[in-house]
Amino acid sequence: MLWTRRVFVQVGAVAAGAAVLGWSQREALSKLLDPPRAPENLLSAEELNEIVAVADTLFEPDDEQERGELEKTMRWWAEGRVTRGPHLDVYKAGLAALATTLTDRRESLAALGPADRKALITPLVAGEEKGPFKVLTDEILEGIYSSAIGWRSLGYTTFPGVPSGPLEYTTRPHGPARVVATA
Amino acid sequence: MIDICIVGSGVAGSLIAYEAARAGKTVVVLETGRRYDPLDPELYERVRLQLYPWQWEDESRDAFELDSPMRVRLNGGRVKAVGGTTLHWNAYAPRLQPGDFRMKSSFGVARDWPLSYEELEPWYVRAERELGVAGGDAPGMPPRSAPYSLPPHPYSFSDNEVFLPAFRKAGLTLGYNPMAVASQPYDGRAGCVGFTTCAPMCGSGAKYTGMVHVRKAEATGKVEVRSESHVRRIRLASARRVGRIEYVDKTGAAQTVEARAFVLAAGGIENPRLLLLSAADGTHARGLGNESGLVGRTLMFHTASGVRATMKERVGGHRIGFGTSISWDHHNHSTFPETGNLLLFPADLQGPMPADIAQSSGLVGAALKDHVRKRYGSNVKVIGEGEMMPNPENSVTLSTAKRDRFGDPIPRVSIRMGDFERRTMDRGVEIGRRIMELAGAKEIWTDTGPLGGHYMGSTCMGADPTESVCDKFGRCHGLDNLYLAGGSIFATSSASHPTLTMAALALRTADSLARAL
Repeated sequence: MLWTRRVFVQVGAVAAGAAVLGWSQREALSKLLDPPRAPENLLSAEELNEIVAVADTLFEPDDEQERGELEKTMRWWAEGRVTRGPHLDVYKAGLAALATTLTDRRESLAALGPADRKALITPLVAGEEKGPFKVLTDEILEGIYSSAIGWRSLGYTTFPGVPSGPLEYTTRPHGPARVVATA
Repeated sequence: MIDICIVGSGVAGSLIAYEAARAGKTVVVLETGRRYDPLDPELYERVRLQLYPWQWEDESRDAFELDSPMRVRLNGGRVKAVGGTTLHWNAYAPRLQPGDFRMKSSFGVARDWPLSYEELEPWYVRAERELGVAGGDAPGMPPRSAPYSLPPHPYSFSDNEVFLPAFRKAGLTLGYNPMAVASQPYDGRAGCVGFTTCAPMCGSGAKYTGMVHVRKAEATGKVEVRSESHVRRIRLASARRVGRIEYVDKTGAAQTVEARAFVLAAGGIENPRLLLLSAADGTHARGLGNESGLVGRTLMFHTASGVRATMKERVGGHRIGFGTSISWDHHNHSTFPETGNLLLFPADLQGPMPADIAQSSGLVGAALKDHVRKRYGSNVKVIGEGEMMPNPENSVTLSTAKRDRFGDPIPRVSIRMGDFERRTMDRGVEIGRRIMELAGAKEIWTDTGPLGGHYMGSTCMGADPTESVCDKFGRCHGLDNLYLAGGSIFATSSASHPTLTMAALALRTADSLARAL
């Protein structure tokens, strides 16, 4: 488990109403608390394009406006996570694994059409094995669903990390009314 | 020579510094950690990127040995930085119950505090004002002589719709949760606007942190806070008086501070460690102030009984960073000596978060979006925070195997749950499960374990010097000018979160200290 704010909130502090943390891997923690301070542009333009292409395939924006927001979000997220956190290896290894999959096609994911991308990505995501590419898609999904674009897709107009108004939390939740949870 | 040297700039150290300065005393605060600027946008950016903002831990300084069958995340429960652990606390601020102060005499277990709830009550009122505690009525809450500083945070949607009815059906009550989060602008702080990231960092400044009193103390012109100043030894001037503190400053140079009085406010682990490291000849051979042999002993945590559940409908979690209700019904000493007290907190801040649901779905595209939309937001939890008994075997000692980068033995933390604690946790699970069943939960699952972050009892206070380390003002029994502050001086753990009590005791210590000098 990586030591993130989300993990902190989820596993520890808020869960217990106390300043408690919930990570288990000390090595990972130490890395995170003392992240590599790297130069700018740790991810190349081509790599960022591939990350955006993976995100686009995973999230499948509803329209061009949402597509633009997703791209902006992912560029901010990936660059922030590798310059401020220890996630560079996650991106490099995940993209390398993706490149291996693409070898036969001799193309980048970004160069493929939506249908081909989806055909390629879907079985990789559905697989049980937690390989480097699955770790990368988890990282990308965390970026999407920790940001405005992901929360908005749930019907939330605000989300943790931005102000929502003092009494927002007292009202019936956002989103489709009376959504019935399924198992 | 300055008047007071304080080790540690958390809630206890900063409050004492401020109060002493207001009384005209000069103060130097030594803080081993770095100083963060709460207004630094980089901190906020890290929170937005789901990264922990306070990067305080330094393996070469903060390593520890653990002797426990439990997973104890010591460094996860504390922050070594200016402002201390309150930088990342969740700001729950309940008082202890009156019975917590007379456990031995009234209930035949543990030990008594050397002061009563009634003696501490006026200091609770002051602490609530200093911290800006928002609260309101809650059945069974400790008696109070004054209203809270701020009106309560209204109940969340899930409290109103799920928990209040379920608790009622269970024959239990809920009331407002006292929070050191401003419900409206207070003392220069903004009112809460629902950033929801209280732990680890409030985005608006509504949450109290020790930085509030660090800044106030510095504004007096009588307090100097020296960050990245790591204290190594406390040196005696005579058998009953401390003369100076030795520390390493941020450049690596050895320094000393001489003062008329000294306060250790470095937390439940470092307070006893410093006393043990500073052993001297004669009566202090086992550690400063350790004639009782109790320095480092009777370390206590809290226990946690967690019951999570999936409800049939969305409850709208993650829209505020804390639970808005509390139940005191099982924090009334009615089950002693079989099981301990439990303070119950419902909350809708429980996972899985949307990202968790997405990651475990194995889906892509519209199917993914639909899946997350349908499954997010139905989870809730009831936490039963329980107490531990003061067992001398649970301790902070000095490692014989490892040293930090200064060459000093790292702390060795030994802690185990006994039958009492296990029974208390089981009872918490039983109560929580019943509540969830009455709430109509679809699925329920439970977990128990130690609640990190609350490190208490390791330099306990008491009336008898042979059975405690300091007196009811925090003054070390064997040393006339050395005071202890923070959770380490608690005689019992109670089931309540400790910070407000730490603040109340610190204010009382500051008052006593200012009078003594």
